[in-house]
Amino acid sequence: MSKSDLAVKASSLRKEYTIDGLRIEALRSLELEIKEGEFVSIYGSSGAGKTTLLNIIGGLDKPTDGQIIVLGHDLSEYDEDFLATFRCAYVGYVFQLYNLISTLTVLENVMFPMQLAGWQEKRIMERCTELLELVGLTHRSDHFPAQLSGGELQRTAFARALANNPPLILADEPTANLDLETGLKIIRILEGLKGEKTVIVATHDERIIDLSERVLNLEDGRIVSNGF
Amino acid sequence: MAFDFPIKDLMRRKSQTIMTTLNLAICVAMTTFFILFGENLGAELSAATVGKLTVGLSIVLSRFTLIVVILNSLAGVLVTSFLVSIMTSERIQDIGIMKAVGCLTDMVFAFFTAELSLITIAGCILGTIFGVIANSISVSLMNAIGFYIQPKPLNIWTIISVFILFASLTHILGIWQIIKTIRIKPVDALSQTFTLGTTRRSGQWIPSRLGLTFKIALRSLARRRSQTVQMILCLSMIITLMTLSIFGGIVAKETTQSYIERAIGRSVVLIAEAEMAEQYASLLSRFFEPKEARPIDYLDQDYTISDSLISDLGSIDGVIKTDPRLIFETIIYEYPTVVPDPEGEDRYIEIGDHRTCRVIAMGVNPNQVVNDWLILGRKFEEIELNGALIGNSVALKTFDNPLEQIFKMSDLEFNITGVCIDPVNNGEVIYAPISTLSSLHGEHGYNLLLLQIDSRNHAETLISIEARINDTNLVLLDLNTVLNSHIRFLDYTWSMVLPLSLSSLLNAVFCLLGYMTLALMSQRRDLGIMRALGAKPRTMTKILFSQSLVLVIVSGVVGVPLGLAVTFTFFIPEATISQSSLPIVIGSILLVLAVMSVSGVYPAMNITRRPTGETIRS
Repeated sequence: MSKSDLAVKASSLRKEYTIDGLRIEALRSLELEIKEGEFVSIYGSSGAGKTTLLNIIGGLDKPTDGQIIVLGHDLSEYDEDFLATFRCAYVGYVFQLYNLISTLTVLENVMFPMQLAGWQEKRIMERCTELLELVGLTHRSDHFPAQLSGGELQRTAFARALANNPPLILADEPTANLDLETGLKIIRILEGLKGEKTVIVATHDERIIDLSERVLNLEDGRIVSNGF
Repeated sequence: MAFDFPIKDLMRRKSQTIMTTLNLAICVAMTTFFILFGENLGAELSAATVGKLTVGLSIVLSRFTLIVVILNSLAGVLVTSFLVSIMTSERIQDIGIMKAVGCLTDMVFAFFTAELSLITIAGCILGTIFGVIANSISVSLMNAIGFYIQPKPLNIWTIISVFILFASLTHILGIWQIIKTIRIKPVDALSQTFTLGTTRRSGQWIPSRLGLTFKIALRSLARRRSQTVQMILCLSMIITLMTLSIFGGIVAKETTQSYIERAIGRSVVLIAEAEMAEQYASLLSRFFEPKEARPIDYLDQDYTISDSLISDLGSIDGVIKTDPRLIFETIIYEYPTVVPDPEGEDRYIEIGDHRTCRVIAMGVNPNQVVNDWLILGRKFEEIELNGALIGNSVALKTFDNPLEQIFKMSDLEFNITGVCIDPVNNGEVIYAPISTLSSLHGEHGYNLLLLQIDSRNHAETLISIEARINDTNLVLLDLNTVLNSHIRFLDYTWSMVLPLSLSSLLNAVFCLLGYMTLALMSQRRDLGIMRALGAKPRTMTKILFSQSLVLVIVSGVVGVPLGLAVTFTFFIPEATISQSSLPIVIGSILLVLAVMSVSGVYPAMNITRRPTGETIRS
């Protein structure tokens, strides 16, 4: 595999938290390579380190030790300002608890990353229309998050993640809080991304695992199996 | 419920506990200090003095003190209860959990009330100690720099009253806030969508066309409507207080200095026999040195100044005005009088009593006086042989309505035509036509001469005057020296009072910090999400600064004009402000508003310094 084809490369990746003097090792000497355009699922028990790994790949957190290179950028070397610019341009993040900005409407939430990236107003509106149609929420564009159902919140989160057309999509348990039917809508959106973008999903949902090209099994901060 | 649980809880939230306690302590300290220091300066707080006809220097200070004390008390109590409400609002989910597990509302109420009581008592005790210490230091400082102030024994009742006032008002308002908060249903308090102190739908009206920062900032303010309104109320009160302190304080200082300058006169010299000159200087200095003047026989023939010498001195180049006087000590007797009843048509009421006052009487030629000290009524004319002007202290102590009353002196009745501010004998002085007063003492001549000289040739003129009086028993005293001492005294007095008003700035800062902490609590998740999506720390800071700015601007629009109105309406007649002070005043108010806006961003700095992952997790 050519190095330039790699979307994510982690070497000896370690993450440690200290809570009230107690050291918790979330990731232990983790080695990982994910190709560009690959659809990868990460599964593992609660506390295995899935969210920590996604946060480090997404530039939300920094590793304690080791190296993490995402889309050619060594994230362990950059400061907060650069990481913010990196996240805005390269990463679309879908959180388990949706994490929409409560003071903004659906439309404004989707607009937000594009406004941060400095897009023209006209282009923003065109892209928003396209994304809200894709997730089927055109009729809810003026509603606030508090007025939406769980499925609608998650679909809005997907629209927002895709806003800047980032090459890397990270999704943390995107169907965990949804019923079967609503979960299926989310899976369809993910299916649409397959082949177009690098997608990394932390999940327990068999339907998403079936969709994946590769599955990483994470246990106690280590990858115990890597393949299908 | 014992106090140990609330104490532990307060200790765990140290910064908020300290902030709320200090805020209350500052207000109590300011109030205690103003009252005690005011008493030491002889300007006892008395509502009765406000609105009287006479306006003396002590009244200016006492009015300033009174208004600042009232506003400070209101602001202190409002801000403290607001901070208590913030502390309670932040615990809304805990309240939900306590209720959900079966805790009775009474117990929740007792828990928060115990916290309120602990904060209130600690704040009031600290404030009382600070206030008493500040008073002692100020009095010692005034004495150390040469102005004698006889420290009065601590008025325990005043201190207790301030303590009780603050403790009870803080409890009443604080308990009201607690009751409002703990009424929440557990299901609402624990709901996922319920964010601290917010209402779900407000803020929808704010258009999307506003810039991203302002839109988010305004919507966040609108969502915490209740706290935002309370915050604006508190800040408006504090800004009113600060405008009054800064603008009113400087105006009061300059006005009182101008009163004194006009009363003594610029470039005025005194010519009198040495003992008399010393006596006059001593009478002038009673304003800041409360020692009794030596008893002397003012009418002793040795003190007389001849008409020919007066005319001789008046003809010297550089002498602008000659003001010969006859000065002596006497007693005046108040006469009651009947005036129309202001509340009823065709009815009359009696005012006044039969009070007496020992005064210094000055016989003057009304057109020749060097003073410009009239603050009420008019000067008497030369032909008004029974007209008299009285000093403001006589007016205050001896008359109900001086301009309507008359007094008797040595069997002669005098009509009061005006009231003046005069430092001679600390305002216990009357002025009447020299011809009338002279006739009371067998056509006695002058015993004092004031000369106003050209300030451009000050030194040369003094030399000429000294040459003329060289071979007499008279001496020359430059009153500019005395005037400068008076102005320095006023300067020091106001310098003691004005910086303390800055403590209201501390109040405002605490108030904003409290509010912005609450704002951050309720927005922490949103801010974390924004950062996760790529917003830089400065975007967060801009949003929070915008919120702080909006609050300060809205409060400023209310508070600054209110402060100016209070200054001019209730405070000082004939207010004076020099052009050089105006930019300082405007600059200070703007600086204070800027400091307040920026201080609100401090909690944001903390949150933006934390790693994004940690912010989201919290």
